[in-house]
Amino acid sequence: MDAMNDGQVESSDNEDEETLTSQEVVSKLNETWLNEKFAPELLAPSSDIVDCVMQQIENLEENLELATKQGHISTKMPIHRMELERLRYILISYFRIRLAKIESNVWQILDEEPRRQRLMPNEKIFAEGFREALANALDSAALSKMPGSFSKLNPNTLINVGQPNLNSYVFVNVLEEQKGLAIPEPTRDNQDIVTLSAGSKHLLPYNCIRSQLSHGEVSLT
Amino acid sequence: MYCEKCMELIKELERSGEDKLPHYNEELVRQTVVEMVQLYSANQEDVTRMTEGEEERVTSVQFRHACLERNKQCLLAYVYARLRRVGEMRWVLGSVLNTEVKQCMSEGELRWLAQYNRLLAKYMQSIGSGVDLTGSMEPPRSLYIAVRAMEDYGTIETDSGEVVEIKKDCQYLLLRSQVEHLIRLGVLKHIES
Repeated sequence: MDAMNDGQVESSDNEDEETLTSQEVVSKLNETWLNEKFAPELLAPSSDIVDCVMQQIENLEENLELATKQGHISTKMPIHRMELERLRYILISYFRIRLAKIESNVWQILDEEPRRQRLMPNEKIFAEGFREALANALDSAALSKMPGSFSKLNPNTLINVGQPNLNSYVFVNVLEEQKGLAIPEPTRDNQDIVTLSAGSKHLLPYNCIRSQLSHGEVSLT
Repeated sequence: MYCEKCMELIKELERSGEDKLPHYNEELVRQTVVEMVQLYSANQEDVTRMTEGEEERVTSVQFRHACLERNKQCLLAYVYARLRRVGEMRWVLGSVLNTEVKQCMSEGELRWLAQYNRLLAKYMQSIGSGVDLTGSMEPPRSLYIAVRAMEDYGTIETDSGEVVEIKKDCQYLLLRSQVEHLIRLGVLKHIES
């Protein structure tokens, strides 16, 4: 029972096989989830964290089932169950947020290279099917009835459907110190060059910290 | 005046509120398309006249072309917005929509919904077995919640194998994960103490 949640989980990661404790995995999941939630565009997927957490959830479920079957009811069980529910909620919310972003901007995501790379393979299948279903529905309801060249969809305008506003403001947690960050002034065309100290929080346009976010130097909150 | 009908379609959607689906306005859509066909053939005629030398018709051609584009844009926006709304309803109500909602949908929308359901099901399966993305829509505050039944629903089986019969006005203390979708459907109501 004690080994339930405090054990070590291997991150099914890369060459150096780093081992993260389950707490670290959960906090990484939290960070990934919050970043995805507050970023206006689709971010790169964290498949390794997702796999880790899914495995943790499975282990938790198995252990709980085993314990109930064996009749080992302890006061810790509702706490473990709540943990399970919370993990599940965060994971499912992460998938849902990504799916919503894909649905609202499907043409641009599938057509532009950097965005397409950010789709997980099953998301890509979903996106392609979704785009096709949309094209069929639009065609049968409206386009096929229109005269001449109006019955075709214009790919240049399609890309603009549901485009994320990359200038929207986000709350930023600074993890590593940022020197010489350029922030455009909203009223004039100048830029302010600022230094953000580690551990500080700011409200900034998403565009300013876009690349820092992808390198993990800041996180959204 | 041109483009009034397509604007009517957009206004209808705006007035109905973001999460409601009004009846598919087959008639207005048809009228918009008829207007487009008329504009297009008038333009074709004018273009042939222009090649024969009547250059001054170019402004009316441009004007009709702008109307055609506007009609197309509004019509596509109408259809697209409705499709997205149907998709959102599926998330709240489940994969089988009730007859009231279905009556408001056109055949094309029903077909699209079926395709969307298939895509979602395939996606959920690919994540892992038994993952339901429509569950856990809110962060869990507690393991069990007290609910009151608003109507007779019949029996449900919980994960632990227990069979519970849902009768109107009875209160139950059940696992949150089991009853979430029933709360969303309105069958059960969460009692807050």
